[in-house]
Amino acid sequence: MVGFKNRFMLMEVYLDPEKDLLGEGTPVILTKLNLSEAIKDSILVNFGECGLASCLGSFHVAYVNPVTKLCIVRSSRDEHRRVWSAMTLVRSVGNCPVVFNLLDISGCIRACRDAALKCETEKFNQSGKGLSEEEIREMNRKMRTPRTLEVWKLGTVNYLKSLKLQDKLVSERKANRIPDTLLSLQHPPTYTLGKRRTDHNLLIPEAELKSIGAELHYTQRGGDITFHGPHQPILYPILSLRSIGFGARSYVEALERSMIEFSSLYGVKARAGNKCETGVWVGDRKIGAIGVRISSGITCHGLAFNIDPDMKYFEHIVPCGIADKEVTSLRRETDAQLPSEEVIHEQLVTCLAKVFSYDDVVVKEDPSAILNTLEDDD
Amino acid sequence: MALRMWASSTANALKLSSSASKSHLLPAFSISRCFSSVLEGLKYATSHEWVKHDGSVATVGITDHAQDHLGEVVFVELPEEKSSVSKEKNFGAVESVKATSEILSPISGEVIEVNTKLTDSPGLINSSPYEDGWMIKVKPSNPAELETLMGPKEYTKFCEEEDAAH
Repeated sequence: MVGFKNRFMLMEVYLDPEKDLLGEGTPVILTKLNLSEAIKDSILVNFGECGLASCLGSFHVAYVNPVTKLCIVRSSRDEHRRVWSAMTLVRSVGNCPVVFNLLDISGCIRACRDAALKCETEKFNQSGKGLSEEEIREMNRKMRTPRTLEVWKLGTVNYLKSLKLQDKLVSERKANRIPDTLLSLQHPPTYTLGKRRTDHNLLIPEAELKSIGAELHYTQRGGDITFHGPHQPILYPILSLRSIGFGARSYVEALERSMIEFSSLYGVKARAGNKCETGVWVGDRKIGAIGVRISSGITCHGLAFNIDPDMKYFEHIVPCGIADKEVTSLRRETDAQLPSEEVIHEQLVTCLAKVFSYDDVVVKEDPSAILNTLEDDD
Repeated sequence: MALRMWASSTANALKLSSSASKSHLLPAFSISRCFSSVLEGLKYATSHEWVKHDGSVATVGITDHAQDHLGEVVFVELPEEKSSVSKEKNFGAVESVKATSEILSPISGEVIEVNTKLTDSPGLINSSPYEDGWMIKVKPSNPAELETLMGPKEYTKFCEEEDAAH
């Protein structure tokens, strides 16, 4: 099932249509920024504020090649004709008169990218001698590879081990040795505290934790005290914020949206938290928690969503430091038949991938092998 | 219903932008101000910290753009006095909206003073990122590092490109 239906339009931009230039001495360098501004201005002028607002959510210039003058523009399926007409009516980019010509429309970026590559190869073949070495290198650099999310399905993992794994993956991501990665797992009964060490929110003495079968861990993530346990899927995205263009706040908001999307699959109307109550709520009851750490622009820790955890564990804490609000679970909020946990984890992952606009989701083979090597490092 | 939400937030955004600049349109999801302020006389790092160099003392903090992208700061962790900081290494952290973000130092040196007001009033970073929200004062060990940082115009362009790229 495809949630968000988009159309990807491959456009050719003719600069100063009187002449036919390719590469040499072009009057304006096409960038995502100036193309995007020109198209948005055109939508505003031709379709008004309401038209612009309805297109803006999914409008995105995905690829621009200033040498071959090709660009790929994404729009939602419902609005793509509007965006297409607006693009046709664009008269100038910066100070340079232009004409847009549509070459191809498709429903996925891969097909569009293939069409773009074909067109660029033809252009290159036609006037290969006209392009300098520099321009060819520039072209190769611009061939954007699709954004892929690599998912590790880990089953139940001890908390400390998951911390070690995340530390390792954060360094790997920072060094660009791995793509954006998502850990999908659960923990045995575990209480965790954030950087502020708000242990006054743990209502039973630490010594008693063992008797209820739980562990306690202090972490560097944001947020207050929380509980993790069986039947509570956890996602730890290890992403490069710079490459997805998010700051801390917009990242956390996107995590909230992922959980809200997921809840709606079961007819549960969840909402983001109010100021200072980050997380996902159903009415006044908290169903999803967030706690994140950002280190040199790479994220770790993430979100936890209550499907059907043992709610008694939440009685021993002031969850997230918010005293007068309840904690709830998907089981409590819906009468719908819940599928297997594996299916639920996959659905949660899919919602996150959609919200973060990943083109591709790849499941890593046998990630538990890595967990075993971590044990040896002890 | 989602479209109405986008439409109203963009209409708000457009109202803000039409006075400041006709051609600069905002993405629907952020109703933040058009331009974060960038001060003259300061140097800027690509990780969004600023440095004010005054003789032998350099004051360090995070920029308006950074505090805007972080959200409301609820907790600040700073180093001790007399500890040392290194360029591009983390010296502290800031917590906002359940996210702790590390702060990287734009220069190397010894920490001579720490803004203790931030423990009780972390929100100063949001309300006054360049004045009351300063974080540490450092005695630079290598003043040449300041030359590698960006000036105000370069930093403004850097932020615009970063925001527009997505």
